[in-house]
Amino acid sequence: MKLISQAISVLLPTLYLGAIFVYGLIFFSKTKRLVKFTPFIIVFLLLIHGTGIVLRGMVFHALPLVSKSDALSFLAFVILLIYLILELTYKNKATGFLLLFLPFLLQTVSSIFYDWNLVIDPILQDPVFAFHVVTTIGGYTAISISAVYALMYVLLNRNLKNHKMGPVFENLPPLMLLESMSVRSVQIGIFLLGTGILLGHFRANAVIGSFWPADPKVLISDALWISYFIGMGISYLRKWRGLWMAYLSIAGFAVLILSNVALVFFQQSFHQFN
Amino acid sequence: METEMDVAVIGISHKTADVAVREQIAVAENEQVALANLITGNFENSGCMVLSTCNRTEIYFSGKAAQENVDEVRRIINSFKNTDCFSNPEISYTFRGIKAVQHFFKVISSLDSQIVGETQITCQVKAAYDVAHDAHFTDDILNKLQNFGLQVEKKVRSETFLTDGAVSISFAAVEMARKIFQNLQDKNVLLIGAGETAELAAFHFRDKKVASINVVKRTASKAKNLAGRFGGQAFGLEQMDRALEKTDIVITATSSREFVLHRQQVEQMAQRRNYKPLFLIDIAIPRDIDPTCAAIDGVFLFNLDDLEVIVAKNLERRRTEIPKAERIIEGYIKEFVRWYQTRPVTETITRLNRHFEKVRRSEFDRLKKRFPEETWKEVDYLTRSLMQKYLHDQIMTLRNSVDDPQQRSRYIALVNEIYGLESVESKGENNEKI
Repeated sequence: MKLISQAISVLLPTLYLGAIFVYGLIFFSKTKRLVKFTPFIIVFLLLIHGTGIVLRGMVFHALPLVSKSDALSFLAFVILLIYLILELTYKNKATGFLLLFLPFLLQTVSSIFYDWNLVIDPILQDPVFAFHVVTTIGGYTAISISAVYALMYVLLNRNLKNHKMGPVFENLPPLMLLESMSVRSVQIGIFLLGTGILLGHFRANAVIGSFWPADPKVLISDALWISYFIGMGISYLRKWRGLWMAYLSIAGFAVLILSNVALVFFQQSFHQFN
Repeated sequence: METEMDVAVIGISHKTADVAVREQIAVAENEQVALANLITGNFENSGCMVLSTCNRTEIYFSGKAAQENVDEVRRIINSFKNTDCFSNPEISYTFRGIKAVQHFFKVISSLDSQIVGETQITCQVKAAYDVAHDAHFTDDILNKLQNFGLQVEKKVRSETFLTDGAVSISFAAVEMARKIFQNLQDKNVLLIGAGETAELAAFHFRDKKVASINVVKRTASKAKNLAGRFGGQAFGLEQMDRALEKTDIVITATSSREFVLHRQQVEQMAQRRNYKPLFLIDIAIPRDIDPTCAAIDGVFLFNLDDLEVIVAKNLERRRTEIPKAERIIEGYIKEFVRWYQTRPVTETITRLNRHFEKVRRSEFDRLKKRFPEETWKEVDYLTRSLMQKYLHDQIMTLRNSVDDPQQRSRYIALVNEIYGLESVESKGENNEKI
């Protein structure tokens, strides 16, 4: 079982790259034949990825979210799942080329840093903890997707303004659709991340006796969530839209990622369970 | 692919004749039946289909009519239209066999159209086929030709970019709007001035069911007539600001020497709309909209040159797709030839089966009284099974002869002679609609 799980972890980045290649052919209008196969490609990828996550969970007898690598892999899986839903809903295949880079990078990093000799902390086997992790990752996923759609909005807006009718213009969905997809994703992200953070606070109170522990990860996550919430509120009240919202979404995502990366590499946090 | 096929086409199209000639030889729908009736009436066991559009008039025929009677068919067509155009090799063309099949596939997949990739021709071919079929003028060859033709068209459409992208200025404007707005049904269009292209664009927007199309002209009374055609409101130039309220798409086509829409006006408009996308289409020469408006956030300005570039790019792209489409056509021609080659074998097998079944049935009816009634079902099963066993080798031999024309003809003739089968299938037996 461990061997299969390890094989899948090695195989996944290659499969993601293969999927990106197929979507690239579609994006650059090289073929129309492959268009009808894309949902099957994504479903196949989801099945392999899902199997890898389940097997790893079985190997360690715990949730497959117990290390940073596992969390990144799960994040990639959720992005892929959400992308499949978006592709089937909006019947647009071209965004896949741009969007699949994100899970590819996440899974590659994850595969490289997988630890196959994990010692699982009992705290990680708690169901509330599982819900905390799943909702938090779901929130991050939605915010990531929002940023990708915001980036597509900026690209398409620029192409339209400059009358550049290349692959970006031809393949991306309408400008206003990209805007609404980005805004909707960020709304879902704020809700899920908020739920995850709140559950984390309850769990911290139960385990270490403090609802608001002085932990840099907790403080930064709270601060980021509050910033996102206020940002969304202001943009709603002042009716910001278009490029402003796209830039805000991209900037918010950049801060989110940079602060988390900084936390991972430079700070000690009680979140480092293993 | 040396197969002789009893299918031919005589036609005149935009490639060979100008509109005056095409008008003269066009065949109206009610005439199509009469012409097909004349041709099939003159040659038994023949099929006929008449395709007549503004760009072409083509008469497809099959069976006996297409064997050695093409000249006679041409005479009938000329006489029917009271012309000699179809005998003039400079403006008419005749294709027989594979060339006719290839031509039909090119026509139905719009490779032979004036604007390559236009999709209207497929509907026109379908309509022509329906007319011919409903009047029982199609035979199995034309039915199969249509069947394969539709498959070709579908594959060309789904596997190439031949039909993609707008190829007219007016439709390019609509395509651009669809790239900006998610849907057009809640969008308001304002037409400032008028001109053929602008009006065409407005009609395209109406087809996309936009919320409203209002018109601004020098005076409201002049705008009234055009606005009425779109069910919109009419405004004079002095009411421009009021007309621009709630407008999402502006098409300008006035003959004014000065800008009709100034930057300040558009800036105010964009601000009022909270920088929601605003699409400005300027198809006037000289231009109606200050080009600096393009710098305003949320404003997308396209002029005639921009739209022409899009159209040219789309046309070029369609041209580059032609070889791909032709490869698809070649594949289907091979399949059609293969079907055509197996056709006499299939027909012979059908007749052979029918002949044996007839004999078996009559013998069974004659002799069944000799058996107890409760065993009739088993006897029926036994005789049927025996018949199939006896026929199996003969059928397989016939099937295996498909690729060898000489052997195939010999076997078919032999089977026909031995069993005294009818040499020709009665017309209409295979006349199943596609």
